[in-house]
Amino acid sequence: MSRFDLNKFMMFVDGTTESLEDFCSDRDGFVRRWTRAAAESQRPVPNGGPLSELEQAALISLDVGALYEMGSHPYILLHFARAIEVDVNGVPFPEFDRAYKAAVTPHGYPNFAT
Amino acid sequence: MAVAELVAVLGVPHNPLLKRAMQNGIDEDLRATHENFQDFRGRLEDARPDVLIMVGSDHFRKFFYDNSPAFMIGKAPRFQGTHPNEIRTFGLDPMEVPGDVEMATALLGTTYLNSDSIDFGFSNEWLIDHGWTVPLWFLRPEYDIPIVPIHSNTNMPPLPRPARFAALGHYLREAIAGDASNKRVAIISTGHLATDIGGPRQFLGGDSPDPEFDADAVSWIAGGDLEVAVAGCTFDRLASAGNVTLQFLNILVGLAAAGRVPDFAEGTASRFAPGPFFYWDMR
Repeated sequence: MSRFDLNKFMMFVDGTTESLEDFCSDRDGFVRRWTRAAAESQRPVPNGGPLSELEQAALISLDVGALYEMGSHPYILLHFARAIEVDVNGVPFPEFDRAYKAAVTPHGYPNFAT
Repeated sequence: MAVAELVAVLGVPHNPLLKRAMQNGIDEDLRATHENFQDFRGRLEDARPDVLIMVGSDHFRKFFYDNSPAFMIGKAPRFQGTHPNEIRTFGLDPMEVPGDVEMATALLGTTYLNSDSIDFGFSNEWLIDHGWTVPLWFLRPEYDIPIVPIHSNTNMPPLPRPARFAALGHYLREAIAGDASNKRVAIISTGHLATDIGGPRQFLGGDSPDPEFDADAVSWIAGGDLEVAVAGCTFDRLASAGNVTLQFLNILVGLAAAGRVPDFAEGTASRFAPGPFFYWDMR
């Protein structure tokens, strides 16, 4: 498990409208391509990286609580989740904010140093 | 010999949500923030700076976990802002502002680094994020005064120690005083008081996640006592006040550069977490 790779994935998805739409249109396929790019390359690639089974599942299901507990940087996680729920799925921000806080609050303040 | 003159030092917030919230009128819970920015904008105009040295922290856009300098000077002839996700998420507008390559180079050096105290990195091409574009939008929306952006890592631990932020402020003051450019220089430092983003205490409807920290932090700066401020900024104290409160460290740069009690000091309440507003008239 790598906080760096988690953060890298979320920043990539949130980085452009194209990558955000790609992920949201096929989350499983996007994660598969991401991990395959890492496996097939001899060098690190900007659009790929190793992710554990747990990380892949949490990203695909947007399990904010799990991603937070794993030590994702909170700023990056918030904007990743917000982009999907508010910008793409049209969830009103106050509703998103309530659900987000409910997901992270039980976990307190995990260490997010990489 | 003519030398540059430090004419103003500012400490301000850069909350990217302010722009969208304020662009179509000023609601009551944002009035104090608006008035402070308007006041600072007028003061800055009166100070007639030729260059703005802007000390802030990139938010994972330019400097990420694959490449994270402690302190970085931008020495490009122009800077554009901001990143696509900030335009989408915050409603920020693309912008462009000239850079002051001459001043950036004077701060940096051309052979060995000029500074004995700060091992700067440098960047010749840098798409700045809201840490710079938002203060500029409020303070100099004409985008006509060249800037020298300085990034500090306050987001990705391990961070430079608080004393290094003080050293940066001291270095900027000394470098400006010894610069032969005859320019009038303002330093804008930007950060947060207690602020939680992505944590359990985010967006508390105007309440602070840690009012006690806010009171302490404002009193440190208002008292002009750099040693007390540096000593107060332990990692645990800042981190416990909210997960992006560490950006308060940038305000230490302003205090160190000014070297005295500010002319204006306030933690300003709004619909968001209270924001830092500090101004030193150095003329």
